Formats: sequence, structure tokens, C-alpha cells
Amino acid sequence: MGVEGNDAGFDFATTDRRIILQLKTTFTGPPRELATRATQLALACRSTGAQWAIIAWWSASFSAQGVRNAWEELLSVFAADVTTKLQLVLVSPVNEVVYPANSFGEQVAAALRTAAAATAAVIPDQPAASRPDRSYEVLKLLLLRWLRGDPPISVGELQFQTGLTHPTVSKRIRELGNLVERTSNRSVKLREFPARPWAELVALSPRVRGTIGFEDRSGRSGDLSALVARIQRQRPPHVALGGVVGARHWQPEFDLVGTPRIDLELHAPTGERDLRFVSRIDPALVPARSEVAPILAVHIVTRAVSLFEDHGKTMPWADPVEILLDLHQLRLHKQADDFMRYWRKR
Amino acid sequence: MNRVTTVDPRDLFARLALELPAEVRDHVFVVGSLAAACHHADHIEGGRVRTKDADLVTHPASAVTSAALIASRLRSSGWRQKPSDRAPGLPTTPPQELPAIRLYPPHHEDYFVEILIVPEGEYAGAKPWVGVELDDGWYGLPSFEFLALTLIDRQRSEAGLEYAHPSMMALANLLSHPELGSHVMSTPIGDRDIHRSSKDLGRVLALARLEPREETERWATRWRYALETCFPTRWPSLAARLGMGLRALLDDDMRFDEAWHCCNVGLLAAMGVTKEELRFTALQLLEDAIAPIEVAAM
Repeated sequence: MGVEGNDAGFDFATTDRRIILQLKTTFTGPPRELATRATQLALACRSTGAQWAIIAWWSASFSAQGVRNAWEELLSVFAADVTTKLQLVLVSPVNEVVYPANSFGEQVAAALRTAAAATAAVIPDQPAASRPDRSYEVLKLLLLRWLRGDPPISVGELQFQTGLTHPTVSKRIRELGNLVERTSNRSVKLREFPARPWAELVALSPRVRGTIGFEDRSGRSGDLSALVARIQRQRPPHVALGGVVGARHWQPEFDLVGTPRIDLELHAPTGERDLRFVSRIDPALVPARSEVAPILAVHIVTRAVSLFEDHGKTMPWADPVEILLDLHQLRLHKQADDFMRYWRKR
Repeated sequence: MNRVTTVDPRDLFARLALELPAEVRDHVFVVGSLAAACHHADHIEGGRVRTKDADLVTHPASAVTSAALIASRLRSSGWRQKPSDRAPGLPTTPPQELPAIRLYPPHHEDYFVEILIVPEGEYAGAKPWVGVELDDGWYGLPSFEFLALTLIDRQRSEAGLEYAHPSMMALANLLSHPELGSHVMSTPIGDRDIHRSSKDLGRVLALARLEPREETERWATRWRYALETCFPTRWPSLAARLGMGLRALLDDDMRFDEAWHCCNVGLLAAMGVTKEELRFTALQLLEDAIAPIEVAAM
């Protein structure tokens, strides 16, 4: 799609101008502005001869029913040749209206959600959430097995658990060089702690894991223990507790007073981040501005198998390697070292 | 005492408890801004509230005779009718044209009480005033459709006088405004003309804001019980519309601004809550307390 000026009544158009799109981001919701927007787009639709005209709108909050009613009322006054071409795609952290519903509209909605999360500032030294890098899963998995003292793992099993192709897994193993010990049955394990690759992963962790930080904009004094309790009650699917809270689960004597941040790992093997669960935990949690320390961070786990510890009743726990990365991101390096030693001694 | 514009709600409760005859005190409870201010006295600006009006609801519910007896008992104890542009009526006067029973205590005019009654049954719609005869003529007893909810979970002040629980006042206000409506308050609030729904829904947000979030999360359970108790046949339809007014308020920036204004000159004056923060309070209330009730009604 190309970019158009605002005067055109739309912001983007396909090269052949069969599809035009108007993009809008607001804190307050429609329907007040909806009539103006729809009229602009309807006129643009007619003047360009577009076959499909979309309002793609991200709003912090809106009433789905109110928007539907307003949209239907608007359609009733437009000429039939235009109304059949108009589509409203409205997304908030907790709500969504795709009218009329179709797969293209759903794709636009998904793109809006992803863009809203990605354009928000994240961690102080990481201005924008990036797409997670799955290739580091090989290192993470091998390190996890090394920490736990697990036996060697076959390349096929590594391929299965990471969801990576055979060439990628093999390449990543090769890159680890002598740090990897190969057995006669084509299995591999780490010979020692992979200090240099690990340091690289720690340094790149926010980008590799697509970390997104959230701040509380309600202005209430934040009680993180209450927030943890709320998360555990809601038990959002495909989400595990990590960070300091997770470290305390694995190592009850974990040496830290207080909880500086809540870290959650979201299992998203396809890489698509659906973060609506954060708004259900607390609608006041929004992507953090760069100058604000997040109170909650979500890290994406992209491997095929989550490796969360899940007993079915309580909230799942992230594996120790993800927690180590969380601790380093929090600059709790000493605690991270202690946590790793704890695992090696188990 | 008209120069006094604010009162300490705990002091007023103490005076009410002292000045109301004992047999009256046990059959009334306080609702409205004074009750909310008493519950949250530690958090409101200077511990004071801009009201001299103590809305007293009589109980048991729907006992018109009891309300008339209470009014008579107060008057015989020296309580005096607050002057009004309406004179006591005749048996034939339409109740809505009768003066409300607003009484000053015997020896001062620092505050006055107004007597309300809980409507009978659970039927829907605006409640007509009920006429009662006192010694100098007929007076009107106002009532409100959802006032019965305030009977649930009543609290007792340090002075021993009962008042409505904030969560129940919030519930009654939410239900009273499934849409924003056009009614404007007859008296400006903080020098602004304010729609009734903005004031009442703003009160809901102020009450929610004054509680820790862990408490408002518990409102859903309290609300469910209160709805089922007071409206055994209507509760699913009432629950289903519970958040409609608040969502409409969120969608209308002008009305939301009015609600925010009411909060900032009222119960939240000391807290400096921004409009954005109040908006998030609304979203939290929707998520924590309102949505669970709406889901339960489906």
C-alpha cells in the first residue's frame, strides 16, 4: 500500500486503488467522530472508484454496541453503491468491531493490535518492541538442559521442541562449536556454560524475546502483589509467571526484598502477540512510555513447546532460563548468578 | 448558618445520632453524599463535604406509615420544616406537588434531614411521590426505583447511626442511568451546569476511586446478591444493562468531563485525579465488577 495525504480522505491505498484505508488512533472512542470519518471515506471511495474502503481505528476504549449502532445508522443514510464497500475495523486493548466481518477485516484488526503494541515504548533501553527471534531457542533449550543436568537431546527432538527447521538447528549447533558435546546417537548437550553466546543473548534479550513493558496509568499506587494475585486468578492462557516471582517459586530463598516488576512469558509459537489479556488483567496497563519504568513486562516465547511448568490448577511457571533472562533485563545480575548456581547444585 | 458551606461528615453523623430521638435513629439510615463522605472521611479534602442535607431513608422498606410516624415524632420533638415555596397540601393535591419533608433540628439550622422511602415491590419505572398527612397538612415522600438496594449491607458509623454501603449507592446510581439522558441539575455544581447522569455516574467513579481495587473487585459479589435479593425477577435484565450508562459516559467526552468535574469539586477534591486517571478507574470498574455481573446475567 502507498501513503496518501490527509486531504484525499484516506491514508493508504493499494497500487491499483481498489482498496483504500483510513488510519486513526485515538484515546477516546467513537462514535462522535465516526460520522466525519465515514463521510470522508465514502467520498474518497466514490472519487477513486475503490472497491473496498476501510476505516482502521485503534482506540483506547469504546462501547462495541454503541459503535455498531452508530455505524448502522450511518450506513442507512449513505447510497447503496457506497455502503456495500465500507468496512469499519475498530480495535481497543479489550474490544474489537469488524463490520462487516470477514477475514480481511480480521487481518487488519490483528495488524492494528500488533502495531499498537509495537509502536509503544518498551524498556528504557529498548524503544520499540521488535519481532522475536526464534533462532536463539536452540541455545536456550540447550542451556536449560545443562542447568537441569538433563541427558543429551537428539537434533530431531531439538527441532521438534524449538519448531525450527533442521538446517537452522544444525547451524545454531555448529555456531556453538566446542561448547557442544555430540554423542554417538546424534544427540547433543552443552559441555560447559556457554559464556559468550549467553552474554550475547542477554544483551539482545529485549529484542530477541520481543519484550513489551507496561505502565499503570490509573494513578493509583501500584501494589504488585495484588496484581500478581489478579493474574493468578485470571490465569490467562499460554502465559507463565517468570521474573522475580518465578525465581521465588523455583528458589524459595531467592535473595531479593520486594518485587520490582512482574515478568510474564507469553507462548506464541507463530510470533503473533495477542496482548489483550493484559487489558483484562488491568485496563490501566498500557505500553510504557520510554521515561517510565514498566511494572509489567511480557516476553514472547516462540519455540514450539512452551516448557512452562503447568500443573493445571495454578498459574504456569516459566522455565529457569527465561527467568534468568528476566533477571538480567532487570539488572539483577547478582541474583541471576545465584539463581544459576542454585540450579547447577540441584 | 448558611455561610457554612462545608461540614465534617463524622461530626454531622455524631450530631445526628445525638439529636435524633432514639426511636427514630433505629429506623433510619443515611444515603447520598453525606454517607459516602462519612465512609471515606479520611480521604476527602480537609475531611469536609459540601452538604448540609442528610437524606434519611426509613426502614423497614415501603413503610409509609412508619415514615409518617417518624416525621411526626421529629416534629413533636421540636424539629422544624425547612421553608419551601410549596405549602402543605390537601388530600386532593397531587403528591408530586406536595412539599418534601425537610426538617431542621430544634435549636439550629446547621443541617437538615430529608425523609425518603424505599418503594414497594420491584416494578420498573420512576417512582411517584407518596402523600402523607402530618398535623398541618399533606407532604410528599420521594422515592427512587433502586433505593431498595441501599438497604443491603448497611454500615454503622462510629456515632451509631447507620448509612448505606458505598457499593450499594454505586449500584443504584449505575442502574438509574442506562443512558445519559438530557436532564440538567437545577443547581450548578462548582459553577457548572451538570447533567444528572454525569453527576450520578461521576459519583460511581468517585466511590470506586476511593476504594482500593481489591475492594471494588468484591463489589461484583455484593451486587449480585443485592440484585437477586431486591429484584428477584428483574435482576437478569438489570444486570445485563448495568454498564451501559458508564460506557456511554466514556464515549462522550463532554459528559465525561462533567463527571470528572463533579468528582474534583466533590469527593475526590483532595486527590488530584486527572481525567485520564478517572477514565482508567472507569475501565477498571467495568472489568472488575460490572462485566462479571453482565456475564452472569447472560
